Amino acid sequence: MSIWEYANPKKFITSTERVTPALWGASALCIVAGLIWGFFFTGDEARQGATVKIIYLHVPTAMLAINIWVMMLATSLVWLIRRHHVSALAARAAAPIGMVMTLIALVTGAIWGQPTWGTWWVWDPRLTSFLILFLFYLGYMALWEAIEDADTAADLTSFLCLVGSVFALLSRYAVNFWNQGLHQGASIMRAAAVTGTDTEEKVNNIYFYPLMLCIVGFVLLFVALVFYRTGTEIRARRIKALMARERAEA
Amino acid sequence: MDHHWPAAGAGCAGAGVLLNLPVPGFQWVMVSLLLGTPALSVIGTFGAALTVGLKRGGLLMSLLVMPLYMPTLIFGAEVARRGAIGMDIQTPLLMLAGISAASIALLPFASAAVLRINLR
Repeated sequence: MSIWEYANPKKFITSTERVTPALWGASALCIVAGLIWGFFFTGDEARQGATVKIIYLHVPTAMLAINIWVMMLATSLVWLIRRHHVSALAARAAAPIGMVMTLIALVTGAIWGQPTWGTWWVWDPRLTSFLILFLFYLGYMALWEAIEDADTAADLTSFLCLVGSVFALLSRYAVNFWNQGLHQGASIMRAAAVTGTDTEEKVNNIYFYPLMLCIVGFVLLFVALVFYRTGTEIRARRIKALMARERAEA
Repeated sequence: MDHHWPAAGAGCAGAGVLLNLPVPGFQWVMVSLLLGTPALSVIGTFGAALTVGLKRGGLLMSLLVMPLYMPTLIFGAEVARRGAIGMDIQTPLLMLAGISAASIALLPFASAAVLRINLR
């Protein structure tokens, strides 16, 4: 029993279809509960007022936006090394989700920035690197669509993902160096914040628990979406193969 | 690459020498162009290799290459900006040179692999 068993498309579809409904349910439950808890049962923040509540959308989507790219990097490597089609298709299926998450993070960030910083957009390191990440997703998806042959497309996009990851990391460092920016550092899971010594910088527990619930919900949503979309991609490819065979016979 | 860079990158820098613009810190603009444009050219070859099999690859290539250009552009602009106002430019200059050196050393392998895939 190894994980590579699931590289078989049929096995992948049957086993993911068994767990996907549960994933949908759990993610909906977490997101709904987290958002209701966050919006209606936590107080307004002292200085930011009610605007702080956009954190329940902004932080989970921003975390996913980065981690989905990492997941695509991993699946691209698996495709390049072990040539499992499911892996390449999972990367393809994840890209639009990652792009939407990046977009949500950018938009909610702008909406949050307007009242708190007094501006929709600044060329801040985090904001700029997110814009660059958005362009990476866009280019990646465009390359998938542009190439006819499925294996060639998988190879080329995998290479783009590899090279792009290096440059995305570089940009992250470059923009940090270039400008200190308005955006605060990560303040949710800092070690000192968890142990409670760093009271000034930590997100208060009142906000932390519903936020964790939302993060879990969004991660489950992503997993469910990737399973679902990968299944769709596998079926679309099978249909294409069947139609090609039918044309050849006719 | 070997034809493109002298034409575009060095050309840019050379045109600067001829114009000899009387701008403070102008020499740093030149240095950043000289150090940065090789990286841009090599990244361009990677983009061209990715889209070589496509009929209308030009637009797609610019979309693919634009985010890859970003770190080079940021460090290059930073060298010029810091040079112009007399700040210490060592770190961005080293990063810029490092990006160029690493791109020249490593990206051709990626471009070659991608070209091989395209020729399959």
